[in-house]
Amino acid sequence: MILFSTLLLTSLLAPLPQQDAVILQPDAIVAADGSLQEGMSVVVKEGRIVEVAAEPTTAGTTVRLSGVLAPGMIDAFSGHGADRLLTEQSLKTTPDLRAVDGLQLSSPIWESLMARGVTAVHITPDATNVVAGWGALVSTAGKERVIEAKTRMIGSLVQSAINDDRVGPSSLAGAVEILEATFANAAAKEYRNNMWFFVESAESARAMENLTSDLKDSNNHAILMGEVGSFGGAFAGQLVGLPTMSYGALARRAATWELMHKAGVRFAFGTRAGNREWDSLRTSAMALSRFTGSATAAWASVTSNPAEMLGMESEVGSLKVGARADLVLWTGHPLDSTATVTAVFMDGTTAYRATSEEN
Amino acid sequence: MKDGLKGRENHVDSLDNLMTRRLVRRILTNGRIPSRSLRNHPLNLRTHLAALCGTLLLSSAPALAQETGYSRTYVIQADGAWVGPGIYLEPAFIQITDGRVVWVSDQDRRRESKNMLGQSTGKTKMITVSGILAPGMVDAWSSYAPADFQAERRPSSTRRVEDSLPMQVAMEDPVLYAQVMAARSAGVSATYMAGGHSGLRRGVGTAVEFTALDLPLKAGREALDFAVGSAAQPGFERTYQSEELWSAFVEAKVWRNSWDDYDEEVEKYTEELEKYQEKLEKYLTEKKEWDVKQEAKGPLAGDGEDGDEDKEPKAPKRPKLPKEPESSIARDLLLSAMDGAIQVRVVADRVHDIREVIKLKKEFGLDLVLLGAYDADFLAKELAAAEIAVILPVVQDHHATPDPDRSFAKRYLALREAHVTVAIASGGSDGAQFMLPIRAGEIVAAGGSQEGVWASLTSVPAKILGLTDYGTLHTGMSATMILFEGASPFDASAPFKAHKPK
Repeated sequence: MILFSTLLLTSLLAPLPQQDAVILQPDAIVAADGSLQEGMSVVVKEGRIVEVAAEPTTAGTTVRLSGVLAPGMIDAFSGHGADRLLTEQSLKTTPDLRAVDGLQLSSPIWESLMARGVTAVHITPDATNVVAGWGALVSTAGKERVIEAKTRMIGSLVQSAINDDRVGPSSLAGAVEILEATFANAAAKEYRNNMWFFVESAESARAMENLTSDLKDSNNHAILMGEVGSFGGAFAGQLVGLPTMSYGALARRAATWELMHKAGVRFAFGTRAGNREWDSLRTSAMALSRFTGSATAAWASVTSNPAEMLGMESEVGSLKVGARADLVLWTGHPLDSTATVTAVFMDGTTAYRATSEEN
Repeated sequence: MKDGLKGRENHVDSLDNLMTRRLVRRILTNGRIPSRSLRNHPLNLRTHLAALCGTLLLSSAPALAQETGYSRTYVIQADGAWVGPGIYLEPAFIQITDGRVVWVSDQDRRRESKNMLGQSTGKTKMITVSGILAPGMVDAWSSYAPADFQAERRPSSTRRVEDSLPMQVAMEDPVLYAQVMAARSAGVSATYMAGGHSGLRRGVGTAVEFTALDLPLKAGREALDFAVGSAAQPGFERTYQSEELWSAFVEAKVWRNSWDDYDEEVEKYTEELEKYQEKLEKYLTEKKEWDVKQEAKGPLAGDGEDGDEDKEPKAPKRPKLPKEPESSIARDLLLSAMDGAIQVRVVADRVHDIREVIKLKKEFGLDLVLLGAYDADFLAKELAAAEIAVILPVVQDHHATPDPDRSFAKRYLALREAHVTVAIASGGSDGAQFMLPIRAGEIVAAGGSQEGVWASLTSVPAKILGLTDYGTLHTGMSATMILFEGASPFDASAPFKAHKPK
């Protein structure tokens, strides 16, 4: 049975029995390398991807989609949809603070994010404490909104956070001292190998390196703030977080991103401390594509890279079998600036659809 | 070895030419614009003769090919070409000679060329590429300015960017060189370098094209740059600068209306100058005589008998130089603008300021372009009626709290719907040229026509800047192009390259 896209939106809703698989047949899918693949179907059952194939073997209801089907984008570190301040400033370290406790699920921002093709947001505490607290991965729609309540511990070696007048270390050395003391606690075992550090200089990058190099199985990542061009080279071959593009000095930014890309640095874009425009995630990916000439690297920076940095690549950020079926239907390639979001599917239903007046 | 150097010699030659001509022009004009508004004044005859000589020198200069340093002939075969509005070829063949399009066709139109003896020398070299060719973008508003211009301690309202353009960009002005390289790699083929970046009066900017060595070279027209009011920033609703600009024009007009008085002043001055000449000669003779007498008396002469003091002849007085009638380059520039001889570009964001700008154009009949124009969508009809072209910067939204109902795309579409001529530019943001096609694509996504939006990046800004050789790929136009492999130049999922002619 083939339904056409006009019928799709309603057909995916209630009438279908939950157990039935749905075979989505778009014009093309966005493959892991960012290229378009035509003639592929994505089979979804109970909110999960069960098969991706040209001729799927799973039985189910076939739905013809006009457009390009892609995994939803992930905001690697964000403050959207949560309390404006996610920090506790009366304490030097706040390892028990959880971003998930500051969520504002009723905010209208979630729908706006879906309209821009974002299906998961990693909410992180403000990087004002040396050990700031736990991040949370939140889905922009669906029955269970919190995908992971304790993702990664956020740390900060950012000079501006260190130097402010509030409680905290007064120097980078002081920050290192506090971190070493904190890591010596048994409680730190839970997170010290899986931290994300906001860094903004070669010095803070080195401090992070020294702190974590003696830890076994360290899987720490850095989020690069400030003048990335002056210290980005220290992260050759690594996966790093990067604030979305803010305007100004774009020529230098372009050169920096291109050089880092050539040095094997992979990026995961986040909107915290970046541009507050809601579609800046995609804009940054498009800019990265232009700057580096690699659509593969650009597409990964908003999908599989943030997932990998979170250690959740089997859950989100790709069209892998077994992953959450957080899917976005676009009118063209998501990195084509003329493309728009037609619909977003989550939990096996249509979570969002574009109103005709928007197009 | 010699062959390898041939192109270079050619270029050095052209640079020399360039330097000489620029130097001559600089001396001739010497900071003064040979103003049309003053052409009736006898005082300015000399200036005009000088300007005429300058024009003759300029017109006898070598053709553009040598100026820009592009010297090769070749044919590019591509999957297609966006030649200009309404003209799309598939496939496309373009012959390029000296950096210009010789012909463009969907067929290979190469003919066998022959040498002087009638022997065949084969066909022109063909380069095959995959993707679609399109004209390079014209960035009608950049933040670029030569270091020499920026180094000025007190920005002058009469300085010309052209006078500050470097002769050799890579060594002389590395910052500008990096900016030009970035713009070129982003697919920009020509741009506008504004006179200054702050203050009400910013001087005289100019449109520029780029040479084979990435040197920005004056092309198209010059314009007077102004900025009024505040940026579209909350908390800074308006300033009174737009009124200031208004009074400057009014003052210039009043001055022009009192030309008869000025004529009299000039005549009087000329007479006085002649008298002064006579007086000066007389004085010099007297002074010489007096000096001789003084010397003959000896050093103690003055201290002699007290009674003779009154009889001692006094030293002759040097006559006073008559006062020149006041002239003002700044005012002359405003008068040129009123004559339509020079374009006026005004940066204004707020409704109040834009209203003033419309009033300015109507009252003084200016060739006026509005830049920034954050609130222009509120006055779309007025702008259309006043025939004011608008240059929207792609990175403006960061000034204000992003308003989803008045996004960049929506503001553009509102202006176009009212038939306002709109160009899209990088604006005051360094390096934003990379964002031009991406932000422009958002307009297409919001319902704008692909062709219209592309025109706003190419032919429309070219026309505003008077760059008659840019904006399309028709015969005779610049062959600085882009090559895209995606669905359109707005598609960032596929390769996009800039083609710099050889």
